[in-house]
Amino acid sequence: MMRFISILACISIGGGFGALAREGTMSLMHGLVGLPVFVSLGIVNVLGSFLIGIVFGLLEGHLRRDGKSRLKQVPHAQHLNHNVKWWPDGDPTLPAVDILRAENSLQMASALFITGFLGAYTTFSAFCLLTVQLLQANQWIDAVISVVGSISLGLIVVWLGLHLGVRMVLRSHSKSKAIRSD
Amino acid sequence: MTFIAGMLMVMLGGATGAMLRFLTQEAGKRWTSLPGWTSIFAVNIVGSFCIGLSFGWITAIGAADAGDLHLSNLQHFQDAETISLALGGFVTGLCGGFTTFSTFSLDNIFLLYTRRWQLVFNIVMSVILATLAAWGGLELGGTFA
Repeated sequence: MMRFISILACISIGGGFGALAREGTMSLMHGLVGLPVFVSLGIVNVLGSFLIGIVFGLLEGHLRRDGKSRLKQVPHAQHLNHNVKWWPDGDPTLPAVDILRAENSLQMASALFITGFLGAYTTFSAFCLLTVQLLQANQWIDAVISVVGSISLGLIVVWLGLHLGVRMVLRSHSKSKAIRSD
Repeated sequence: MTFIAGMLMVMLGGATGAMLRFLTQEAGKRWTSLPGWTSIFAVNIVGSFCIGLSFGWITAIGAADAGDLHLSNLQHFQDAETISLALGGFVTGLCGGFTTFSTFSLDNIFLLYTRRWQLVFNIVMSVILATLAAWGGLELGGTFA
């Protein structure tokens, strides 16, 4: 119960700042730079997708110890499994306390950054409302660019972000291995 | 002062929206055996309906004194402070924070490697249903004021 409440607290803090950061980015891109709204919102959504890829890869790579990470489904994670003993079944020497601590940090960090901040930073509803408004104003081309562009770029940058995150985990693992063997 | 109140409304809405999204995900995990992405799918459609409804409703209320309102001139509200606060809290904050694009993209990348048909379904149906929901909400909200 205590844990559930702290997770909720992390999510609300992250969510508050995420929504505020979106409003800030929107007024910067649209108000100051003068980009069209659908471009500004597209930038927000694509940027958030890139960041979620990196953060997810980093957190799962560093902290997931139960062997159930969704990273296992992704080809780049094979390097993780191959190059370092990443999964717990590959590392039975980890004490139970460490596993529990890692699991706790994973839950809190992902509540704060993934569900909270990045979840609230990006938005699907304003994106759809904007599509409706573009369609009502007969700006078909802009609506198509917004929908197709955001979704395809979002997929590409999530892939890139995951790749980058896993790379960062690999590098820090190999560094600590080098230190240990010295 | 209004600026700070506006920021607080956005934060409050965003925090509530993110918590509601998390609770929906947890409920989906606990009480249904559907794959994980379906809760975000539902959240995005419901949230899009709510953003249409609240945007249509609030702007219809404000239309009398604020003139022609559009998402693109949200920043330029000077006269209708309450309207702008309500829009910040419900539209940008609550509905914007409830729905998410980043988790949607992340789910899609995992579906791409494992269940391609679900990926196609998720993308196509999310866009179509959420846009229709936003449009329906907008039309409905406009009739309330």
